[in-house]
Amino acid sequence: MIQVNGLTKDYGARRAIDNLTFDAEQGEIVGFLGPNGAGKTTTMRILTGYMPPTDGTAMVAGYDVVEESLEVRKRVGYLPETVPLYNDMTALEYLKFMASLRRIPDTEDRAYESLQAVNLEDRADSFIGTFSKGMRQRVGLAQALIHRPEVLILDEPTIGLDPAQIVEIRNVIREIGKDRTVLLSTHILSEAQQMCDRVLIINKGKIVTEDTPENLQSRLVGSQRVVLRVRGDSDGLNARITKVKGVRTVESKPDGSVEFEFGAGEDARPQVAKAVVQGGYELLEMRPVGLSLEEIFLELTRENSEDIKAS
Amino acid sequence: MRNIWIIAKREFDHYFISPIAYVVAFLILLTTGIIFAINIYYFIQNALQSFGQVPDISPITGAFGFLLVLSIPAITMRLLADEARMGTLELLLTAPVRDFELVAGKWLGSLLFILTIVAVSLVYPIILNGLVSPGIDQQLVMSSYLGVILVAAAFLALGVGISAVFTNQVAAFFVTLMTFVFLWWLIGFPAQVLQGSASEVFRYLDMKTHFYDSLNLGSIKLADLVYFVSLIALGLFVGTTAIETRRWR
Amino acid sequence: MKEMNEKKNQSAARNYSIVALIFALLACIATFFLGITRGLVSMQVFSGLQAADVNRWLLVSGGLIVLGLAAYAIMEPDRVRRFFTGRQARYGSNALVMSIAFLGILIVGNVLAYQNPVPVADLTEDKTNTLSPELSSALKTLPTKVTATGFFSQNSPTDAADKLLNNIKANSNGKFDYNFVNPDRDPQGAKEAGITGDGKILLQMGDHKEIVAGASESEILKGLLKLLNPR
Repeated sequence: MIQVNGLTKDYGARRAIDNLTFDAEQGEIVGFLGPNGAGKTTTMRILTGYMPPTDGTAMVAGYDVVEESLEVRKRVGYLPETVPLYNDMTALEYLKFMASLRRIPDTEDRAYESLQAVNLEDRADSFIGTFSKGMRQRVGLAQALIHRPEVLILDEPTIGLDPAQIVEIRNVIREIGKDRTVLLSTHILSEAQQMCDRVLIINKGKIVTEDTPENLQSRLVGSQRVVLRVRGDSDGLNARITKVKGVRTVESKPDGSVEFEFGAGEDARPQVAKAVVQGGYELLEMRPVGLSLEEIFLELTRENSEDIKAS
Repeated sequence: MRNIWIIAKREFDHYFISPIAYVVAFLILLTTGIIFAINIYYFIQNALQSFGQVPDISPITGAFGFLLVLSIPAITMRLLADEARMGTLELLLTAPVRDFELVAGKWLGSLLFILTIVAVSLVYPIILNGLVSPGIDQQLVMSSYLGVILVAAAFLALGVGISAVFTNQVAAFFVTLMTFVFLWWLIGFPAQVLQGSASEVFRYLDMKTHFYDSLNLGSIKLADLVYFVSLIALGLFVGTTAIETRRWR
Repeated sequence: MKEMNEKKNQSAARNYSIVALIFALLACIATFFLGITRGLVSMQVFSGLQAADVNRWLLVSGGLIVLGLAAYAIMEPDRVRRFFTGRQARYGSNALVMSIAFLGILIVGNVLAYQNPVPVADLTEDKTNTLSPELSSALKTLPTKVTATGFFSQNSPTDAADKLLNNIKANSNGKFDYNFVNPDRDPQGAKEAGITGDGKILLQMGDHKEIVAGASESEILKGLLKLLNPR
């Protein structure tokens, strides 16, 4: 559905995105993960036909974004980061307007349908100027959906929402993403983890890495972390665990548990369990702990910028 | 092409909830009303000495020209500058709407609004027709009003074009106003100083002559029509190009 | 330390490059005004200046424009290169070509319409706006401007004459102008012009004068013909 090849965009002397290449298949929810200024919005603007790239090509829904921009725009639903809306129109009027621009015959019905999809049908006749941030976001999403597009491009769709609203929007996106292609950007990592089939980490205009959230986690974790808990007193426990072959670090956690780390391929868990029991401790629990995507993210982007500094 | 109408309709509706539009309409109708009243008064006073002179509405339509110079910048300044400022231009530029359709739609919407004001001002010739027997020269009225409409359409197109260049409404307003003042008043001056074909060129470019010396007098000349249509085309072209350049600016 | 100096030099170069552009812009403005002056000089508006002098100045300011742009190109070669190649330039040059073509079409269209003054319609009831063909051609053949002065006192209303004269003026391409004088208020002027009676019009072309008895097309036509063929 989306094929991007060597996409580059310069704003004067500043290179916003540099030689991006990636794909998104139909029915995939792909996440663009990166810090502010990484180039996410620029990429999305190119894919929605808003601006042409300086170099490279992009095909959306089978059409070239530069040569056949109008065809691309017919098939893409876009929610910009700023969620621009007409404050002096009611939600219904606004959606009817956007629907008519997209040649939808029964604009009123379709507008209501979109409002229902985002749970705003009771505010159909209220002026958008009176809406809260969450409601504005939902209207924006309704606008992106109104022509039932094959591709949805959402720039930071949950930014500024409260947790309940975030859950709601995520459900809507997941629902939509079942048979459509969704490209969304975020700098909230748990969001990428929860919603996306695949994650592209982008920094300073380049793609740092690309994979499923699970794979990323296991790829990047060169070591494994396990947390264990014993009943009662744990004096001397850390010293015992440290002595076990393969254990790299041992750390007491504030909640009383102990976290230790060992290299991948040297599963030290049986030895640790033995050592704990032999030491007279009652082993209550031992379970693995993953490296959060946050840590992966920071790791990657830090490395990336270090690479850039060194070169 | 339908997009033009959709956008025009939205702009037209939007004018009726914008305070500036009402102020402009009020000022235009008030000024023309005063001129009309004075005109009638004068003719009634001098009825005996008029020797069969028939009052017509050319003072009204003539005043329109001047009023449009001042008021159209206020009408067009927000048309595209506002969209850029609010960020909604990004929505319009990612919708399946051609840049030209956007500009033309804005122009058409504002033109329909001005036409509404002009339509209201039709009360003047109607009243005049009732006061004067056997009636005023109706074809002259048509010609004069056609002139007003053409002047308005040309100014609006230029105003829309300038609005597309700026993000700041105030900047758009002033540049538009300066342009109109230039076209309506200043550009004719070189014609009086120069001679020969240079003089003719400047006199042709003077917008006033295409209205006061012909349409407001009842004669419709091809050159005048071409002139106004050219200005409309120029304004829409500038607007479309400005929008296009926004994309890769 | 070296990096810091390099960076400083870079930003200094950037600042100076803008100076080069501003310089070129000022030279542009100077050239523009010099061009106007040159035009005025050729019309003998300024008696003190010689055309040759102005030409020299024009050359100098033109050269300064080129100098400024060249300096900018030297200081910012990358930027200039990207300006001329690259997609932005292709779009930009495309837009420029289109604009020139568009303006060209507009100009040609207007010139054609002007040179073929086809009256689409004369909507006045008595067709007062269309001048008789004889009067039209008489106006066309006027070598210089004709000024009509209507001597109308309080007793003669000027409205009809005003309409007629205005109409002639509108169709004269600037060759005909008119004004009104009240002989009661300015008896001297009336006498000098040789006007007696009311409602008469004086036509003046250069040194030639003709007095016309009344404000009608035929009378004015007679007067103009007499001016054109003085006996």
